[in-house]
Amino acid sequence: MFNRFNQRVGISLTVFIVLLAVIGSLYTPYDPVAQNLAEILQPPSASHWFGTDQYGRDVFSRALSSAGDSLMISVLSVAIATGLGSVTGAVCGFFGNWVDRLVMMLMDAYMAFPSLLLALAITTMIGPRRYGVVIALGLTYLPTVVRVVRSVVLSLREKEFVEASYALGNTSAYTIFRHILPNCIGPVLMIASSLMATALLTESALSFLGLGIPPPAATWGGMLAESKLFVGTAIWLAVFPGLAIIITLLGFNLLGDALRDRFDPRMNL
Amino acid sequence: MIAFVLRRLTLAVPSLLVAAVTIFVLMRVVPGDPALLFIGDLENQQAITEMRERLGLGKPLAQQFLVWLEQMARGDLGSSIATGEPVSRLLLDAFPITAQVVLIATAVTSLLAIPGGILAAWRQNTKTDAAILTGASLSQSIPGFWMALALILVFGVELGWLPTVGHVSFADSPHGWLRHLLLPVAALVLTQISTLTRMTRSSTIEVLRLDYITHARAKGLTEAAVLYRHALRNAFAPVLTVLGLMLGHLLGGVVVIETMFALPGLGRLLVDAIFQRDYPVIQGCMLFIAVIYTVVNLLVDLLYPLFDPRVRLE
Repeated sequence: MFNRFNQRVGISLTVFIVLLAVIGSLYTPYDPVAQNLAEILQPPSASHWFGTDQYGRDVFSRALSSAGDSLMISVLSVAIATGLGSVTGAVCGFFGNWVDRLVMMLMDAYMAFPSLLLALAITTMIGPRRYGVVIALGLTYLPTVVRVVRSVVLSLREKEFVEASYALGNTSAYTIFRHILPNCIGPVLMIASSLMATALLTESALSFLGLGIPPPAATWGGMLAESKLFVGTAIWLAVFPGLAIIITLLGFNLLGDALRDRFDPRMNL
Repeated sequence: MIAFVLRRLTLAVPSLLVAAVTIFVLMRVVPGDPALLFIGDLENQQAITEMRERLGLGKPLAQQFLVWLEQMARGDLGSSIATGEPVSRLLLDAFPITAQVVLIATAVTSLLAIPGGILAAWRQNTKTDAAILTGASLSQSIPGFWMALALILVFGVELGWLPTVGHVSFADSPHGWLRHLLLPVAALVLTQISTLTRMTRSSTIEVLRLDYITHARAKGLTEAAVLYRHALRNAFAPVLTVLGLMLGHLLGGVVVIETMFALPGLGRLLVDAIFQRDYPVIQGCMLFIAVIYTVVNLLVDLLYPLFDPRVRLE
């Protein structure tokens, strides 16, 4: 009962946010970066639903326009991590030779950094660019995917269908891509959806620290960082971007839980 | 036991080495002359030449790495560009503050999350369970910095009960120390609590299905004794893993919290260094955190058999 309700909430929230992101990239009521010094720090009203910030920019337009960026960064970085990670994990798990041991040692070592710090270090080196964040996050989550896929493949490779594939004269590469990888889709989807939430959270933390997408482009984290100065006087500056992050994360997390229930019913997390 | 500890230690070495290589490569990938980056003063030609010498920039890359590694291993992390202070000094000053916040937050989180998770498992599929799970989902979806902002707004600005910035050492004033740590710790606890609660719940649910629990109940033990003496003991091992991972996460997550509350800890040191392009400090912080993270994971691995004797020391 409770699970089904959560699933519906998760799916609805995710669809809602994706719709908003699409709308936000096509249309916003005001220009999200245009300053209007005649209307600074206005509380929410009929003309400015979420109020305005210290430069008179419309908070609603800014929040709407950054939905697309935030989702795009999460999707692209998770795509990099799952794409590279699945293939690496599958190859490692399938052959299980010295390459596997070497790669796993590298991945373990990578995990010797807390993920936010790793992302922080990589973005510092690449510089604060839009795609810098994507690459940094993608690389940061790579080890997680590699580990999960590898452990799944370790048990898959003992299955009869692998033997059958060889018996039909297929090569190892064909077997991995045609038979092993499609069987990993469940766990990969599960990990991808939870990574989406983590990536979004990390992206907003990076922007909050001033190391994400460079200003004046709006990001939820960046908007929150600016709101810090007005926390006692203009509370709407902190409330709305924060709610946007929370709703999106809640959607992704509940969706992830639903997928986990679907693909791995034994895990009662 | 000693053999296991030694073997586990030798496993930690390659992982630290790779971490060191990563940091070294990252510092060399930055466009520009590394010596200049480490001195930060275009005019001071002599210092730059000395730094080139020190970094061994004329030599092959592998040799440069060895020179660098030897310096790091000796604790010679260079000096900050911004203040000229030795990096090791800065790290040792900042670390106790981070350690305090992280350890207190971990302890408070465990005290709340483990009983919470057990309660949810015991009352599985009831309203209590649903309430705890919903709370966990919510807390998982709230970014730490937003939680910090909310806490600052409510307790610092509106109610004016607690200070929102800075740190007071315990020796100076225990009362001030507590007041300055309350909000940062609360922000960390509220954002970290969900994973541990969920893990405890799922792990306890697994155990509660087992026959020996039925047996414990049948012999007339109270529910509390069944849960805490029988179920928790068996369910604790995965919880311990999550606890170890959480400590690592906290070391990262504390960056944001320290920035918010102006706590002069490791994370704050790192972020300030990043903004000032203070490369020796960035490098020192990264290396230091990697070492601590590895040590924490090592300790968790060593503690594991204590809580789960089925895990053999192999």
